[in-house]
Amino acid sequence: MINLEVKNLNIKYRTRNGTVHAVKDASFFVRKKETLGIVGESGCGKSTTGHAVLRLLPPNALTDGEVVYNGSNILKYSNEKMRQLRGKDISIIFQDPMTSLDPIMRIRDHFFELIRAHNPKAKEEEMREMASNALESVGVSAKRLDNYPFEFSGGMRQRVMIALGITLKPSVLIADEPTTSLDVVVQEQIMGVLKDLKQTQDMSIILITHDLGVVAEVADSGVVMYAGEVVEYADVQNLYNNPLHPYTQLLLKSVPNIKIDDMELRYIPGSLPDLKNIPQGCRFKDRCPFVKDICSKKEPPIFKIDEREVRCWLYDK
Amino acid sequence: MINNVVVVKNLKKYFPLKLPWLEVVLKKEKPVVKAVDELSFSIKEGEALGLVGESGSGKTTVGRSIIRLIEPTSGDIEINNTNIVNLKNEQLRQARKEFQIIFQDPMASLNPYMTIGKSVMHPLEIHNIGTPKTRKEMVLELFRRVNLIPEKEFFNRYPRQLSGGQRQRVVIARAIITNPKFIVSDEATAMLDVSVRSQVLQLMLEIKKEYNLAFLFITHDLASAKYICERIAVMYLGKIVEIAATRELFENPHHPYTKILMSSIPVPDPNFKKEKIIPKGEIPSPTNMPTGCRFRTRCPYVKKECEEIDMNLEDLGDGHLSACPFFK
Amino acid sequence: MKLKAYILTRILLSIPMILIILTIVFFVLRVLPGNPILAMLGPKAPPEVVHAMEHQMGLDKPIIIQYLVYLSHIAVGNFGTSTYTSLPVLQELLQKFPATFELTLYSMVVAVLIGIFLGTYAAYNFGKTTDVFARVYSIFVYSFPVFWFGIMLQLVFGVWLHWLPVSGRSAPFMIPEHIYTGIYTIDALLNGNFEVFIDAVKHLILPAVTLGIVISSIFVRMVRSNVLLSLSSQYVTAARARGTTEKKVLFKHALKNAMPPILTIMGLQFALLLAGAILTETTFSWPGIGNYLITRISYRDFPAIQGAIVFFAFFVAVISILVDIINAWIDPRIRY
Repeated sequence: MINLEVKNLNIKYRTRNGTVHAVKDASFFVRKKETLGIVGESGCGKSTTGHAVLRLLPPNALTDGEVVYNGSNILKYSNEKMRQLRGKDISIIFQDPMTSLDPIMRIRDHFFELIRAHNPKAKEEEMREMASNALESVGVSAKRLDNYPFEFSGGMRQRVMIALGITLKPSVLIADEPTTSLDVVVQEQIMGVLKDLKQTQDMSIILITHDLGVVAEVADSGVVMYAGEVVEYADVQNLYNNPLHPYTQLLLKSVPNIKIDDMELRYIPGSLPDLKNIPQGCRFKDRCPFVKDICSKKEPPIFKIDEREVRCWLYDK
Repeated sequence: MINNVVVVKNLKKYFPLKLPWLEVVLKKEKPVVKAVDELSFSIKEGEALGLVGESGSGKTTVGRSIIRLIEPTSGDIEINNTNIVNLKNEQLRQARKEFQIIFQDPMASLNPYMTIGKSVMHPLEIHNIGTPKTRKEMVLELFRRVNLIPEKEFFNRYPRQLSGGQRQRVVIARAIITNPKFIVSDEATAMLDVSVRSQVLQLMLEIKKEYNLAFLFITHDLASAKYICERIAVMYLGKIVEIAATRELFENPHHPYTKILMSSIPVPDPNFKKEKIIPKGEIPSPTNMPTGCRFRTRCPYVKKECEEIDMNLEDLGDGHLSACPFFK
Repeated sequence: MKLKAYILTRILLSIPMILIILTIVFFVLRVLPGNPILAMLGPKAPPEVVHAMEHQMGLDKPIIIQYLVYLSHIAVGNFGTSTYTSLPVLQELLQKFPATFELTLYSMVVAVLIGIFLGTYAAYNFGKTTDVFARVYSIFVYSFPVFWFGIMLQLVFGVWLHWLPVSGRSAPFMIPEHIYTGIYTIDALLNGNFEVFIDAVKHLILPAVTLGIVISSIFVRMVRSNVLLSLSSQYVTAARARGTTEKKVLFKHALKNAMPPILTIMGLQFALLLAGAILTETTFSWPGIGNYLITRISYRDFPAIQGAIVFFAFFVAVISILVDIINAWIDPRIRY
């Protein structure tokens, strides 16, 4: 059952030096109890996409398209209706746990604020109970409710953020690079927490990351983004074992894998196109080893192959 | 017999703890943070030693104190048969052409108002190598080598006009232009995207071979270390807990911490089912270090005796050393 | 508990600060040109008289002794005697101070209200009309000379419209019967005399608004830039993502986090005003410390000047302690 669906999402930023088309025509969905990984390098638009779902982008961002949740397009919701949705139906955790908590507010007040925002009449004992349960479920002692954020390490803060994210039992959790600024051992612990949640809380997770290893480990399906576009969308097995898009193929070959001895690393020459000034045709053409004539003339559409999607002229029949 | 380029013995770096001034005046014993404690290792010509650990392990402090960017508290550091610990200012300045460091953020290590050509030429001027004419020639040649082509165009560019990967290649060029014997790379690829990271890793590997460099590769990423290094040392809270040849370390990790670190690395393969060893809690604060084995508060195999051991590295044969006397 | 410990250390720490100020004031006044005795007796005074006077005032002793004597006097609240009125300086200062304090207080209220609300609102509406208005306002008002702006207000509201009095603290015979604090608005209320209170407020409006508006320009800019900074923080986005209302996001998260640097500047400004609302006081003939200083400088009344400086130094110290304590109360990272 589809829980959240993004259809033809377009995001443009108006800046002093012109318009940046940060996300173009992104479409994907996530089912109940499923984890969708959105993977890509910096500047590919993956975080922008995640924030756009909750309408948390800065005012200079123009969002177009649909985000369908519970049968309606939440991009059309009024601000108040959107506010009621945030934290209750869809919640988000961010890349940098060091700055995600208000430094001058006790942990408990973060929980109280969340609960009261959705139930102004909530009683203190009741809220404490909810907060304690949420904290304990991610491995943080409820005794620490009265502490301030600076008394926690990065990993513990991220656990607190996750606890905040799941307190009201939302049906979608967006995790935006939740472990990027953490050490591997802590990353492993946090990923464990996220995996448990998916099973125990009946929740969809949208995991945004640049780490192909993390996606392989926890996701059921994956979206690969490049320069603001979804270039490949498939279930994880197919994505890793039989990648279709040249970018995905090369990306997988450039990640060192500790399980392979004497691995020969590849890299992708060149760099990302300027999003203010996108050249005609395929956005990956300047770095692609399989480039053809048509690639610089026409932008490739999404081609559907079985259950998968790929944006590349190689698959034009 | 291949020579050791770098020999570090009993390196210590203690930082005084910041306290309110009143307590500083009143307390007799000044508390310290033992960021690096009694570290010894050596690196041979053409060899890369990986120094791997989490944040707070002290790996960055090691990298900076062995080239005296910060002053070590005690210990001996021999680079190219010179003990650099005793060098005075001018001698140290001259010795610096033998060892260079590459930092994590290339943007921060390049002067934004200087063309990259000038930036790379600068060390030649400082150490009085070549003439103004030959210097530019040297820089251009090196630019070709690190694949900044067309090199004449790149010479006049500013750092902001380059991509992250290109900038890091400039920094590498600057590091090797004085023909050093030893290079410290402090998380040099951590900020780069995967598709570019491997290019920089490969460049470092090639440079190491061509110049027969000794390399200290400091990283939190075991996978990158595996790709570049002949040997790897694993650090935890200021101590080396295990050191071994790369393949040996990956095939027979001995110390519980090494095992945990290895099992935590995500593998880009959905079919790979890894054996999970999850440690307890998080790295303790270095101001409040556990007695005995520093890892015992998180070790899944902890015993009572661990409170008393002193973390000496024991040889398990073939240069494989581990600081855990119990775990087999 | 931690807060109390912080307050205690903060107070202890301000002792050396005050000592340093006292020392600087002492030595600077000693090396300044101009002989206080000649200033007092006139340039034609006979040398014997000058010597006798020097001896009487202790000025013939070694400078270190003079310094220690000066410190011991200040410790017991002896700020010296005015050479102009022959009254104890402290007594004079205490008499003039409430007027200045009252003016400063109300000007600060005006400035802080404008600063916080316009600044926060501008930051929240970054780039929109309100923001443009706030930026233009602060540049415009910043360039107002205080005395010119004061005269303009006097002209409009005093001379043309006759709504408000243009000078002084009170109308004749409108002084509170019993003086408790020396602050007329408060004393009038304590006396229960509403008529006097209204009169005091009427006299306060023009000078307080003049000064308040001029200072508000700095506050608007400070608040705007600091709130902008905290609005762009991750914790603000995170608060929004929890479904927190915009009002709470703005005031509870963005503004509160922006407060410590703002409060520091406000505190400094407050202290500065206590010492130097000279132009405003002279424009509105306000009988405060500013007017007092102007008179005494023209008479070379060195003990009075020195006393006034020391007096202000204490206030700066007290206010900066207060600001630090409030900041520590807002931000737990400071007090731990």
